[in-house]
Amino acid sequence: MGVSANREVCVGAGQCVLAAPEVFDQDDDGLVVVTAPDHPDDAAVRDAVHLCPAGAISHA
Amino acid sequence: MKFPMARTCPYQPPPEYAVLREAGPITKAQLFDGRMVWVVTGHAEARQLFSDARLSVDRSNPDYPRLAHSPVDPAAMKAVQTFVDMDEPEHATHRRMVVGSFTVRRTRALRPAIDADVEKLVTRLLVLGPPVDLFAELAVPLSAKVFARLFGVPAREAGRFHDLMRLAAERMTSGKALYQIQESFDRRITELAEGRAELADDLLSTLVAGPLKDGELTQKQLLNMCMTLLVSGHENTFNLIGLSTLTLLEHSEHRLVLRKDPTAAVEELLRYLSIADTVPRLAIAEIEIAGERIQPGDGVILPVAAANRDAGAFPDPDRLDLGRPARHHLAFGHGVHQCLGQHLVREVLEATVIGLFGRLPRLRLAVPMTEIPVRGAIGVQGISALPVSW
Ligand code: SF4
Repeated sequence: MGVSANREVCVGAGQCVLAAPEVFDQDDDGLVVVTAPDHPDDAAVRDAVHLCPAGAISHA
Repeated sequence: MKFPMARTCPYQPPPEYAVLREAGPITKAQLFDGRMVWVVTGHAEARQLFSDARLSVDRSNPDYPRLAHSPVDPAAMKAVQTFVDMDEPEHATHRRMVVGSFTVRRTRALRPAIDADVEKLVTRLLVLGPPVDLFAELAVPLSAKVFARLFGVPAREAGRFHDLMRLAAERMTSGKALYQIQESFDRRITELAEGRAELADDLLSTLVAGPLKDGELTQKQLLNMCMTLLVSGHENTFNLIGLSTLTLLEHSEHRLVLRKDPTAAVEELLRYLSIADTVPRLAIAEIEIAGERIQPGDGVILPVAAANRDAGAFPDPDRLDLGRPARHHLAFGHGVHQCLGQHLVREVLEATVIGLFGRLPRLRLAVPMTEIPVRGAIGVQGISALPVSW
């Protein structure tokens, strides 16, 4: 399954982009886009999961 | 114990926070009007509560806890409501209208312009010669420049806008300067909407071309949204620049770390200073947390400066350590209301400390620390003058 993000609950805070820029980006509307869903569950992704204020990111 | 209390040292939380913390991660304190509210000092608890939808941010609710005496007119407050005091689902709808202008990429693209602003202002300091007031000559005008660009203030109006932003900074509560800014924004919105001014990629243009045109926002709502962003953005930016500079002047042994990893340094400054300290919320359903039961109708205060000095989240929390991992601080809050302008303020702060200390490595306070005027208990924390020499 890998990294996924729920754009319904994303508030565009961009924490994920700061934490794991190789995995996340924000589109022109500011909402999260997963650019590397198969990225391994490393520290950066875990940081993003933890830091996302909306609980929008998961890794399974 | 009456809450909130003023800081004695501008960059340390009020000493009474230690007493509150002793009583547990969640305890009770009394507001100015005698009302008892929950005060949360634990980092984990504050983080959890910040993202709990059972806590409302709707200030127009008569039960919403007030930190100081202010007339409450629910209807009038509802009329000027913006996403910062809306609960879901309205909040998300409105916030989404502006998030595209505050993404990491968009704010990073502004950095060269911000660096140039800092450079110009520092050059001007050199021309003025020491001693100068860094608050008046750097913190406030830099914030004004940043927001002029964000809102697309036309060049011919820039001088007036800067004067008004300076007046607003002197007395954030006096509405006159802000009212004049609001009038000029209103005129500009009308010009843009009627095609008499050219749309660009600034915030006013974006909101006019999108939500206003599509009928999702009235002009009044659009204006309120812009003024909310301007007022809180300006207040937080100049206060953060002023207080960060003072803190770095008082901890000069850290300058090397600052140069090595400015990004980490900025996060630690945000944590350490926690200038938007006392965040009120209103419980609208029962919440069980840390062995306590918060009842609907209870006021809950989240003093971010306390949570950000929780030893459980930040070892040796009262020590400024510019190299420590501090990204999990709550200086911008947490949950769906987390600060919209956070990346912009990060860029501005980083540009300032690099540009300022890079060019003026011998910068120092021109007066004893005790003479630096500290802002009061209410509102954004900071100082209102910063005389320096070099
Ligand atoms: S951190 Fe969360 S809320 Fe912010 S952009 Fe990423 S997914 Fe969205």
